[in-house]
Amino acid sequence: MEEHDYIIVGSGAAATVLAKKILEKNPLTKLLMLEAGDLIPAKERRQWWNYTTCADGPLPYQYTYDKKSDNQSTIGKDDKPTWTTSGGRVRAFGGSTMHWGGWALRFKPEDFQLFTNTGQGADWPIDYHELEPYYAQAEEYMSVCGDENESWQPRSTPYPIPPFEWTAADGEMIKAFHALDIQPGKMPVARYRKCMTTGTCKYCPYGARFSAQYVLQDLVENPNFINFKVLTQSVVTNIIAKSKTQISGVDYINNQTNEVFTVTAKKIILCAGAYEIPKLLMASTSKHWLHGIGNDHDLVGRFIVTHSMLEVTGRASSNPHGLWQEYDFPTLMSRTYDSPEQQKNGKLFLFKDRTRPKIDIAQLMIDGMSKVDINKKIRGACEFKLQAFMEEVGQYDSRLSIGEGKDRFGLPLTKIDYQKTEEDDKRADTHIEFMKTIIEKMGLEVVKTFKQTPRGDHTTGTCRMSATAETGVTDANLKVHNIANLYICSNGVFSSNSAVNPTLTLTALAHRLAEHLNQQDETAHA
Amino acid sequence: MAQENNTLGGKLSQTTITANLMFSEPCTLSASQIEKLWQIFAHIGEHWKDVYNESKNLKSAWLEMIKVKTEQQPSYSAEYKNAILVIEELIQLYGAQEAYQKLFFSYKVPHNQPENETEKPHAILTTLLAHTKYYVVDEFIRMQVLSGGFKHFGGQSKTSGEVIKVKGVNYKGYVKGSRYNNEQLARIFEQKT
Repeated sequence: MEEHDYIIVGSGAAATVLAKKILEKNPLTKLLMLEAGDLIPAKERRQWWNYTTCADGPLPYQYTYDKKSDNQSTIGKDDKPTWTTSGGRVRAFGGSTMHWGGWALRFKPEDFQLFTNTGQGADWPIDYHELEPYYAQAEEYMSVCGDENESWQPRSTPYPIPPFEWTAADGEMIKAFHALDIQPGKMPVARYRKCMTTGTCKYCPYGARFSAQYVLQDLVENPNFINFKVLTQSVVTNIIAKSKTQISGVDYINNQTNEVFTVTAKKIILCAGAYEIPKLLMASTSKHWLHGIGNDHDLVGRFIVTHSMLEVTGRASSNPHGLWQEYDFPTLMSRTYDSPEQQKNGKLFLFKDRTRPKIDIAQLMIDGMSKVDINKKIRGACEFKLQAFMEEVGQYDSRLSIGEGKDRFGLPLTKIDYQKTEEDDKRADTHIEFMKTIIEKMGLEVVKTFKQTPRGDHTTGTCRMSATAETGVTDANLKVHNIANLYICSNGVFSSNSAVNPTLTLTALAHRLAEHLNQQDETAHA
Repeated sequence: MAQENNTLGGKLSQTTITANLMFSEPCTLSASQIEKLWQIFAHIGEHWKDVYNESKNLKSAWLEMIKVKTEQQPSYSAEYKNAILVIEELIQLYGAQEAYQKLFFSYKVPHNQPENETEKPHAILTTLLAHTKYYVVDEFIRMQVLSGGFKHFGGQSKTSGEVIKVKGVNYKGYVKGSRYNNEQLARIFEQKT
């Protein structure tokens, strides 16, 4: 059986960076990538017209979402699941960056020392300054546009591209921010190609919003990478431990033929996301690892945490300028409360909702409204919405494990035991009251507040980094503790969740790991 | 209980049918069929005033949409052919102006009333007329608005203290970007200095 140099499980943001950097260093690397999902074409014209003109605006990757009926999370006091899985991830070639919003924010220095600063959660075994050069690489790689005048955290390089300017619809909220000493900022977003501002980022017709799929497709088509192969519809079911400290390969099932294969490699990197990686580790039992690989201390799957979105909606009695939301991403945000001072009370990342004021001119026409009445409606009452992510701390008892049954990809279902702490609940209520003051400062009437049920988009912590095997699953170089050749590159390795989206940090970690592996390979060949 | 509104049209329009997109094999429509569909699109512009001039500029984009919707599965060929026949019947019965007026402003596709408040009502597409409105007219409206028709709606004004750029309005679906390098990508906010 031919031994690969690398097997990468998963094909999303992290997997693609690793494959790109490893292959660019050595184009003849024997690299096999195994993806459970299928290839869903991007930039396809019919799909775009369906999305923009059909009543239900279908997106071609939505069928890969977890089904609501597959949810095996704890049921809360209100008889509803405490954690939502549906809609949080895409299982396909290129992974969840097919549907992400492209918001690309760095963590801040204090995020890496949560325990030291607050006595809660855990510290990362690396600090911000160690990751900073890789943040710069990640921003360059994803063409992140941001404001060079902002200084939310130390930077060694400016943003590659200038930011999207605040829109007219942001104006009143910006004024309210200033009045309350909240510093307004411009949302950094990952743009890969020239943005044509179609506002259809969820299925961009030009490939402008960064998606790992575009990079991966280029790698697959590169004639120099003759030993690089991506197999889709290939579900990894087991990691094979040759000994306590060495992995030999993986087993996978071809979903089209139901054949089972075993492949071997010198190094294996798991990039299948914060849900699938812990389940795979736990499923991979042997005489060497009785409770699953890397799980001797029963930490795999624990500390699961995500961001719950907080929302406050305000109603304006009129919209004299006829404003509506013109992009499919927020341009206004603030990290004033995403600060060291706020950390012990739960950091807050504020942003203006990307969909308000919501004016659907076509729907008004479809409903038979005349042009005169439509214009009156546009200038009539409308809503603005302020949203926020609140940092929560992963708890020992919050854990992901293997559920009962399998989904339609052949992946085991996901069980999540999760309960928001009373403290986080109270913090959320306090933050909502604060957000109401901003809406009221805009001169709006608060009409609705909402605390979203945690959803898996920003799941972290399930294989967290730590200094020792007794306190985590992976070490500072993302290697599973005490195993020589198994790495994890996923949001799951984060030791804390911060208050912002994880993808830029994940991409930075992937760049760092790729450099580490390339140096190792260079040393080995020297 | 559905809100019934089936008083428009004649025997053909009221013919009952299942709700799903009518099945048809991918095919290329004839020039005459495309021209008749174009008339529906152009009348949307005319009936919402000022949007008409925009319609003429959108023909190439509209043709692309028709092409991909008829020549790829699931094909809209049968829906488009049906729409041509339904519109012809309406025109025979009411005359062109009134036919479109009724179709655009009076006729409502019936919807169900879900028991669960959080669910959206679903369209009940049980007649050829309902199919015409839902799959053809409504989608043509969306296309026209996102392709530039939106520019003829909305407010543009100036208040003291702040300048809201009146140029550069954007809308979901509109291709702007580098096509107009000298224009703002959207209406932007400038802080008072």
